[in-house]
Amino acid sequence: MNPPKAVCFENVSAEYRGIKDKNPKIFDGLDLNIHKGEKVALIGSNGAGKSTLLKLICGFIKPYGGRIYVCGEEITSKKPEETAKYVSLVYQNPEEMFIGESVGDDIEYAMRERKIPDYKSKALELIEMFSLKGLENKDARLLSGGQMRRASLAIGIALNPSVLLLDEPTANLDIATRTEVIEALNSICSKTETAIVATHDMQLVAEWADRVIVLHEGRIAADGTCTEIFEDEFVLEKVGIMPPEIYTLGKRLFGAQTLNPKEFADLFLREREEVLAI
Amino acid sequence: MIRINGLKFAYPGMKGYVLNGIELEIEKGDFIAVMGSNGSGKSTLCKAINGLIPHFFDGDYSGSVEVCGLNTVEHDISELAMKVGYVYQDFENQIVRPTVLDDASFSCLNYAMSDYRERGIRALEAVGLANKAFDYIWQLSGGQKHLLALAGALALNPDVLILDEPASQLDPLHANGIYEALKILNSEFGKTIITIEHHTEYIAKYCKNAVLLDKGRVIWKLPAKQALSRVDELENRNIFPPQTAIAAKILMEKGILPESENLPVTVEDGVKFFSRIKISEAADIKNRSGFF
Repeated sequence: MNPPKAVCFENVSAEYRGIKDKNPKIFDGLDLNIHKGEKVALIGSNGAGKSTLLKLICGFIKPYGGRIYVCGEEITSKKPEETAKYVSLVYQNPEEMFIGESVGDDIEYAMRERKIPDYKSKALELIEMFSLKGLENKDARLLSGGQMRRASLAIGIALNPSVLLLDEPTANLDIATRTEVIEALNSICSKTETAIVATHDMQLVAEWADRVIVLHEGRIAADGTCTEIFEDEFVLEKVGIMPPEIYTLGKRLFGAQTLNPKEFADLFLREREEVLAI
Repeated sequence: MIRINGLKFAYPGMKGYVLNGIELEIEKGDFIAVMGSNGSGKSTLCKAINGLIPHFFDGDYSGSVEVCGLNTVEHDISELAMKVGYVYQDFENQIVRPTVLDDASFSCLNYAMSDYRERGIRALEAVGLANKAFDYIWQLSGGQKHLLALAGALALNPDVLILDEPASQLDPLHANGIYEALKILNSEFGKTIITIEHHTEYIAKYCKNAVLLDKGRVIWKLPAKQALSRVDELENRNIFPPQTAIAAKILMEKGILPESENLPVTVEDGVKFFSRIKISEAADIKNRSGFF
């Protein structure tokens, strides 16, 4: 039996309001199932529908056809504040998530508004968990890039969502900040059941995701593990995806799947030993 | 083409200099990347090249910047804009007209050039947007808008083009598109291209040289491949080195590969580099077995 579904799209159609002609269709009869516990990466070029899909899941935009279920409950026509029980979206630009006077205030906000008991102590836990101690009284907009991202993740999981959505969590980050965000992502995944990340960062896809969904022109062009996707030359070509450099190198030299430079170096050493042993 | 001597600049109210004695020369026809961690002074340096600093940004300024023979302090922004085009990181803010051709020819119209329309069309042709000339700007994708901002900068026919992180807002396919356009502008139209960039894969593929800034100073200016081979220096400054170079560096540290200042920095380089080692080692072993 399949694990229970976290997100289910049945024949979902969505469009944006057009300027002069017809309304541009983003999805036309999309079916999609995401199971509890999955770490899903959503990839595809600009305009493929990644962000629209995230916004449909959290109810920010409504489909004109089909049904959407989250954690078994139909949310198709529910207001976003009702779906917020199950789903939370962390924006690409963390600054869009800061509305209060301070980091602590921002983290408390959603819990306080929903009159969650102990929201103060829960906020403190989150501040601790995302290494924001000492910064809680600062204006979040004045933090460094990495701190802002961590604060936005803390806000994102404050309501304990079963499904966490993240839009480009690693875009434009330097090494140190990226490492911080990936560590935070991993610690989040021990808290929330299901995480869906829309990203162009193929290294993140390779290191983090256990399922990859490729969107192309509003359709699912491929669905599988990252190595299955990276091996599918037809999809890569059509959608314009480039696997991490080291993956391509490992494949061309050894026909093997190397996901980071260390794996490549280890493989090179093994191959070399085999040659030397002959 | 560009000569910067002893350039120092501090923003008002901020402690310390953002640029702290920059010495840099950039040749005509170069395609050069400016690298450095956050706060190293990359954007400030580029704003000093097109004269926004000191003309539009007050602050403590000393030293000299000369672009195409013009000292940026002595010449005003409108003169400098004819020499240096700039595409900002948030390029959408520099798109100001509702239709594509209108936008591309906007600066030329405002310089009262009689051929403003033709200039706009030529600029759109150069970046591959000519077929969109009469579209509304909101019909363009993110990648196309970026190309339009580039066309707008290009319409005045400047000798130098500066782009602030052109790859950061775009998916890999669109980022390749803008770099391919820059490559043509560099090789066929002779434009000098400066990009602020920390995606080393684009530097490896497209740039001729690279500059590393740290705390407002130039640490070095090197041919791009040599620059990207300095894996440790890049990592220390929070820049991702090319994965191929990292792999080569790991093997070098294990004593498997000979020390070299030029590591492979692209997949193509890597395939040649690592297979050559495989072949030479195999030949080596064969020789040895023959010897015994």
